[in-house]
Amino acid sequence: MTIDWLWWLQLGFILYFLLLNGMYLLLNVLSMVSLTGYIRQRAETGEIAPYLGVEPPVSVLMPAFNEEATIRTSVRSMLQLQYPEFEVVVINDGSKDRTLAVLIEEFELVPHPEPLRQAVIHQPVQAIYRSRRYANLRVIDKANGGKADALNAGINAARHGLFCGVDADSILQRDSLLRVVQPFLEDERTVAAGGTVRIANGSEVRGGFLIRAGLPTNWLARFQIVEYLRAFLFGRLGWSPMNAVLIISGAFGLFDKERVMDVGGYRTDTVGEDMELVVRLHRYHREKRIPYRIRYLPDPICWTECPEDVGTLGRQRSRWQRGLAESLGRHARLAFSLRGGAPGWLAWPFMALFEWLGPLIELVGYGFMIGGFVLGVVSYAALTAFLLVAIGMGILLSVNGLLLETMSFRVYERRRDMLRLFLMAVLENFGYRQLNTLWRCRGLWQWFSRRKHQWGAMRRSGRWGQ
Amino acid sequence: MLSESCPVWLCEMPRRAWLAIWPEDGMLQLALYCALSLGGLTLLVMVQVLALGEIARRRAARRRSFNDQWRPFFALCSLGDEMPEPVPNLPRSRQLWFLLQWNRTQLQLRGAARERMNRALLALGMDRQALSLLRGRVRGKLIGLTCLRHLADPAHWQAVQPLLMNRNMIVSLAAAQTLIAMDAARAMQLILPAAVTRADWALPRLANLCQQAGEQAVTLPLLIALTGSEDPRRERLIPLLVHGDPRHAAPWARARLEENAPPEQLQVALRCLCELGDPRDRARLIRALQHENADVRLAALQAVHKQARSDDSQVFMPLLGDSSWWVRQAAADNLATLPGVTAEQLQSLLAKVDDRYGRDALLRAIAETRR
Repeated sequence: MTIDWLWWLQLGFILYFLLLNGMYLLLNVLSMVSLTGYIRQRAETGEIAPYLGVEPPVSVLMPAFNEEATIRTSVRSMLQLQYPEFEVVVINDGSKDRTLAVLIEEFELVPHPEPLRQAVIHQPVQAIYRSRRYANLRVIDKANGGKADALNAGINAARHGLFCGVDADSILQRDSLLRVVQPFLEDERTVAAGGTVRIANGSEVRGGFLIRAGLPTNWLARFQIVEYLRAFLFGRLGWSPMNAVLIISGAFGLFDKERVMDVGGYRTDTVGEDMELVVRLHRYHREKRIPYRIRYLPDPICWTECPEDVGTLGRQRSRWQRGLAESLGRHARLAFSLRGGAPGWLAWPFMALFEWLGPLIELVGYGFMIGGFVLGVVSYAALTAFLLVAIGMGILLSVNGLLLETMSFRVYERRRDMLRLFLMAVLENFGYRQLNTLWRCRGLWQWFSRRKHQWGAMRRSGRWGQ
Repeated sequence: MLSESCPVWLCEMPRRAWLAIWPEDGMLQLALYCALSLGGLTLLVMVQVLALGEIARRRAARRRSFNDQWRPFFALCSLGDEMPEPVPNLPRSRQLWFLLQWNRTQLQLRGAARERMNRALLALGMDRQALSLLRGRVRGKLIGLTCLRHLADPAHWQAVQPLLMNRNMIVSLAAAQTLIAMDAARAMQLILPAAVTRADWALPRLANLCQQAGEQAVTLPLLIALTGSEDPRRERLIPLLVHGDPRHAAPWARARLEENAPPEQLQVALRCLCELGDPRDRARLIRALQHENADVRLAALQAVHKQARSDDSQVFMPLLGDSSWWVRQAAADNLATLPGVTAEQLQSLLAKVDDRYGRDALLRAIAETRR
C-alpha cells in the first residue's frame, strides 16, 4: 500500500513538472507566432514609431517613495518623452528622505491651489505643486498609503483620458508612449496596454535615457535578465492574442482612466495592485458584457534597475508571489465562470496551477524526490526523469526566451553577451530557480498569514541619478 | 579492415564506456533518450540563436554600406535640379533598399527638395519598381504605396484604388493615404462611404486621414455618408465632423441640437458650432448648458467660451456648483479667461461663490491664468 502511494506520488511530481514546462513550451510557440506577426507588421509600418497627430493626451503617473537618488533623472526622462501631448504627475507618497525637496529644487515647484476630484479613494493630500519650468509637470505630496494609494491620488489628479503608471526608478525609451498607445488607436475597445520591462543594470544611461544596452557584472542581475526575457516575451505575449493577459507590470502600463475609475481604481489592500487591477478589469467587463481588449506589446520598453543582492531580490520575489496570490484569490469567481472567456477558462487556471500553487508543489517535489532518493524510496530512474523534466526542460525554456529575443529586437547585439546569456540560461536552473521557489513559498506564507503591506524597499545603486 | 586497424583507445574504449553507463532499466533508457533529445534540441536552439544573430549582423552591415553609398547621392538630388553624377550602381536585389532609403529621406524633406527627389526617382525609373511592388506581398505593397504617396501623381490612381478595399487593414489605410496625397477630394469620396462598412478602420486612423485630406475635402462626402444612407453603422463617422468645414456642418449640427439627439451626437454638434463661432448660435449653446448629460454641458461650455463676452460671468457662475467635476473646472476656466477680466473682478467673483467645490475650482483657474 505504502509502495503504491509512493509510486503514484513520484509519478505525480514528474507529470506536474512535465505539464508545467510543456504548457510553457506551448505558450512559447504561441508567442513565437504572435511575435513573428508583430515584427512583420513593425517592418511593414516602419521601425520608427508612427506619429499621427491624433494620439490621445496621456497623464504619466509616477508614484515615489524615498526615491531621492533617482527621482531627478526619472522625471527628466519622462519630460523628454516623444509624445504630442502629455503631463507628468509625480505623487510623493510621504517619503521620509529628501524626495520632495529634490523635486522642489530641481523643477522650481510652487504650491498650486488645485482641488482633487475624489473619484477613487486615497490618503489625504498635503499639497499640490506645479513646476515653473515645465507647464506639464505637477507634484502631489500626500500622506503615506502605499503605491496603489499614490496611484489613486494620481488618477484623481490626472487631466487626460489615458493614464500611464510608471515606477519612479524606471526609465522609458523615448518612443515608448507613442508605441504603447497604438492599441488604443487601432481598436476602440482597448482599455489597457502594457509594455515590456527590461533590466538596465550594466547598460549605459545618460540624461535619463538608455544609450546602450549591456550586461551587468553581477550574476544575480544576469540571471534576472534571462528571467525577464522569459517572463515578458512568452509569459505575456502568448496570452495577448487571446485577450487573456492577466498582468500588466506596474512599472509601465497605459490605462483608460474612466474604466479604471468604474472599477474603483487600485486596491490599497494588496501588494500586487497592478495584477489585481488587470484581473478586476477582465472580470468587470466580462460580467457586464462590455467589449474590451487588454493588450501586451513586446516593444514599448521600460528599463528598470533590478536588485543585485540576495536579500532585496528575495523580498521582491516574495512580494510578487503574495501579490499574485491575492489577485487570483480575490477573483476566483472569474475562473470557469459562464462569461469567463479565455481569462477565466485558460489564463486564471494556468496561473493558479503553475504560478500560484506552483512554488509549493515544486518545493515539495524537489524535497520529496531528492530526500526520497537519499532514503532509498525513490528510484534512480524516477529521479533522473524528474531532473530531466524539471531542469532539462527549464534550460530549453530559458534558451527559447533568448531565441525570441534574437528573432525580435536583439537588444543585446554583441555575440559575447549572447554567449554569456546562454551560460546564465543553463546555470540559473541549478540553484537560482530553486532559490526563487523558496522565496515564492515565503510569499505564499506571507499571503496566508496576512502580513501587513508596505512599500517594497529597494537598495539602489543611484547610478542613474548622477 | 578499418575496425582491425582502429586503435583500442579510439574505438573500443568509448564503446565500453557507453555500455557501462547505458542503463538496463527500460524507464532509465527512455529518460536518457529524452535527456539526449532535450540536450540536442537545446543545442539546436542555441545554434539557431547564434546563426540568426550573425545573419542579422551581416545584413545590418550590408545595409549600412548601401545607405552610406546612397545617402550622399540623395542629399545632392534634393539640393540641385540636375541629377548628380555618377549614379551609384543599383543591382536588382537592392532596389527595395533603395526605395526604403528614398522614402526615409523624403520624410525629412519639405517643398522643392521633395519635388527634386521625386524627379530623381522618375529619372532612375524606380517609379515602375514601386508600381510593380503593389502586386507583391504585404511588405512590398506598403513600400510601393509609401513611394507613390510621396510622388502624389494622379496618374497612379488606377493602380492604387483597388488596394483601398484590401483585406489587410494596414494596406487599405496606406492606400487611402496615397489616394489622399494624389487627390484629396476624390479620395474622400471613396474613403468615407467605405469607412461605414470597414469596422477595422479605427476612428483615430480615420481622423488622421481626415486631417491629412483637409476640411474642404472631408465635409461634403462625410455629410453625404451620414445623411444619404440608412445604415446604422454610419453613425460611427459622426465624430469625424469636427474635421470638416464647420460652415457646412453647421446645419447638421443645429438640427441635432433642435431635435435633442443622443448625447454623443450633441457633443459633436457642439464642437462643430464651437469651431464655427457664429454668434447667432449663442442662444442654442447657452440652452445646451442646461442639458442633463454632463459631457454635453462640458462641450457647450467650451463652445460658449469661444465666443464669450465680458459680461458672461452670469452664464458661467451657476455652473461652478454643477454636479460634474469637469463642468465645474471648465466653468472656472471660462470665468478666469473672460475677455478683459481683471484680477480684482475675479476676486469679487470668488467672493460670491458659495459652493465649496466651485470655489476651489475657481481658485485653481485663477492661479493657472497668473502663470
